[in-house]
Amino acid sequence: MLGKILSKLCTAILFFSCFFVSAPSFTFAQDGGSFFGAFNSNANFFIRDENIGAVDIPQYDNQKFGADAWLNLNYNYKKVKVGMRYDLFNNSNLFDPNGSYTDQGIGMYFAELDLGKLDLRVGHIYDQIGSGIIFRAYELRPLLFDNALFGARLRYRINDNWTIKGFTGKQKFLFDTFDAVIKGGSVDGYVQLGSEENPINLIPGFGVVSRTNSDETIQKLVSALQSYIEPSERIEAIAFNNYLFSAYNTLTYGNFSWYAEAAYKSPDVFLDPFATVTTFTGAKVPGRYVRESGTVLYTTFSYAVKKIGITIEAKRTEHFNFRTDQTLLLTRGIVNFLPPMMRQNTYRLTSRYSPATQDVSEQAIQVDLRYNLAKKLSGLTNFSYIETLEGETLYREIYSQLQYKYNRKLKMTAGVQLQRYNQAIYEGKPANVTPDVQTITPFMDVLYKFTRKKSLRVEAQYMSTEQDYGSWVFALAELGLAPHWQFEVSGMYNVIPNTDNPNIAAEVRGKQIFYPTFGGVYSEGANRYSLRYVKQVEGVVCSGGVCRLEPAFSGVKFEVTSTF
Amino acid sequence: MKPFLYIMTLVFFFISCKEVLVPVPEQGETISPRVVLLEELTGVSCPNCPTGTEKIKELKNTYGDNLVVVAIHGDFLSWPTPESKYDFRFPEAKQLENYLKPWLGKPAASVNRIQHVEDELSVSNPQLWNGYVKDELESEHRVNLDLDLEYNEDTREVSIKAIVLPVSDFGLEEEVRMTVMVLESEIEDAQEDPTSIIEEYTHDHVLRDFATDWNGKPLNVELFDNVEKTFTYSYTIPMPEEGETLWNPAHMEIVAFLHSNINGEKTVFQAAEAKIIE
Repeated sequence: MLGKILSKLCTAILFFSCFFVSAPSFTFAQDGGSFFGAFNSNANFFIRDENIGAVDIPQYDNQKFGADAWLNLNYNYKKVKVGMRYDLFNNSNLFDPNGSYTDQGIGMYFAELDLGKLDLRVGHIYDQIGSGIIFRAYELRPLLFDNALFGARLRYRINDNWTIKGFTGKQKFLFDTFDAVIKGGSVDGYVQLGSEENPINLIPGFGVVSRTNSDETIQKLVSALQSYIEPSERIEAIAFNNYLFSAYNTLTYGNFSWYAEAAYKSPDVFLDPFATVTTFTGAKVPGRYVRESGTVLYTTFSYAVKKIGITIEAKRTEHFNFRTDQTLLLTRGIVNFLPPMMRQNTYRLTSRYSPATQDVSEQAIQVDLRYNLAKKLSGLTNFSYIETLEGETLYREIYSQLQYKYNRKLKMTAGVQLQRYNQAIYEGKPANVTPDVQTITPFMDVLYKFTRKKSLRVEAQYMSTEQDYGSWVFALAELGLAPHWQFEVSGMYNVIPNTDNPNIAAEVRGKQIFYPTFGGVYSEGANRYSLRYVKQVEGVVCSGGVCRLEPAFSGVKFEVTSTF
Repeated sequence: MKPFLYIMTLVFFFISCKEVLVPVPEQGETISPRVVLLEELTGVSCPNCPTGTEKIKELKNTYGDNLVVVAIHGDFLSWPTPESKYDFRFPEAKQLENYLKPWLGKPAASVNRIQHVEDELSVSNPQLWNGYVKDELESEHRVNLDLDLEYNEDTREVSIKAIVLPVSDFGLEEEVRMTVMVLESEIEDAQEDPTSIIEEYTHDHVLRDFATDWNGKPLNVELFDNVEKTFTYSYTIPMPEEGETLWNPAHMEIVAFLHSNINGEKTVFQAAEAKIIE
């Protein structure tokens, strides 16, 4: 009933918004509430290119065009907030990069009421507990990942320093929900110790989350587990419910800040891709449902003074796979968020190999050091190392850059990245014929401002590697004509290709291919339009700590973003 | 003290009482007149596919003649490895692979072409296939299908008689189709697995060709309860190229199945298989 009311309310908002959108600008009456929103749309024109493997998905073969769009509308009036999002996907490759997805409708809606010490929200809920290790509901548009909780949340302010919240619902999946019920809650506080001159601030919290499986999931699990014949692999009984707990705290004192979180998952049946199952022939093949409890320990320590800042991050994960339905794979049904432990790189080649978080067995450390060497010279060095709990190296990166600001007109950045990436584990390729990818990638980035309105940025990168596709060179030039225009031309070239990689299709293997990109961006106020011709090599795309393998792209991309 | 009380309240609220666990019984025998079609989407460059194939061997061992298996080397990860002698891909296999979308990745399998999961017609978690086969064996049985083959060694022509005996009526509006596939087993060739490339892997139930259109041939007749009808098809086995051991009739079989093709429904009613040379 409530859903229907909200649905009608949202439709009404959409209807009224048509009048607003046609208006040149929005006005906000002091007692009339505020209306705001955002629009984002991507249109892709697919151009088949067999040379780079941009073939054999419906968009290249016959559809030729795909589009995604999101319109967010929000209205706040006194103690009431309502909002909705209209989602549209037409022959979209966002949901499945190898397929085509078409649907549209109201993808999200909510109503929120502030009732003094109590506030409540119904509809779709985006929220998290602690750093998200036991629960995080969020949206990652580049991967069409949206695991909002569709239900209700109550939050009660006990006093100025302490809050308690509870929520329950089902996880959103496209325009539907999964069947399992998720419920949870947390207590979050603030405590000040020490003197007023030298206070020690504590921000402690404690959270609980629970999932109750649907009958259908239990049935599927029973059918899967029935086929396990080896006594040591058999699971005799399974539970409908499992529980996760997390205790966390941020301590700040002067220039120090320390965050620590410990999480525990009660014994739960989940698919361990590395556990083997014995078949009736006696063969052992990977991939078995196991029943294990799980733990995560995560900490971040940071210290900053005038010329130096250091952040140290460490994490240990064991059997912490938590999905709304244990029969789901890849990014489907993930309820929690395990923080990634590598630097979020932005340059094309330094971000080519990004490790996805491992939820079964992983321990990792990351150190990030920032320093000012002189008035115009600053530096950054990052080290990250990830391995399994058994000691197998998964990822190692050393990244260092120096930035020199010669004057207001000229800024230069140069550095180098050294990587080792376990491609067999991260991309599921055969271990004996897939060596770790080891790269050395020097890069430079120069920004020159001719005038206040005219600037040119040039990037150059070279990735030296004998593995995967071989060595690459990348160059980019970006001309900025403020306040409206920006033009970009770039190219990536497989300068020394690897001719022996059995993981690459014979049609593409060992070829020297140029991947050009060019286009322009026009900005006007809060509206931004971009049109680009893109040829992009296959690679792992990570967004917000979630990664997936994306096929090559060839075509034209048009994007509009707007806020109001 | 107060925060501690709040936390304890939260904990007790969630762990209210001990629940009754659901037992996992041993796999029992399923007796059914149905013959289920399992279309495996696989590829020689797919490291995880041997895991799926092992699972299918286990299902075949469990369900025997109640299960018909087809291995489709369509497109994705189906390109030959550097050690491969053969390329199992052909255009119709690729069309069928696309027809069986959506799926998340390989291995994947479609069980009677029924969408068991919202976003997967072919399910990419091999652990679930057992349950879907069992579900289908326990579903309504509507038609019997038998194959009678005659092979002419001189012309390499196979005459295929598909004998249909409905146990319920099928109107024309159901647009029932028959698809006839040509399969080959015991092919020794390379296959990637999670650790390496196995040079002498035995590929079974490989889809080699169709004796009908890949999307089936409409029956164009009404089918009535307990009224037998026979449909005939033929297929000529190509001659192997010099030095190749493919297209060996002794290792080949014919698979036929009746299915719908209406409003996006692709449901398979019944499948049958027969060896070309018994």
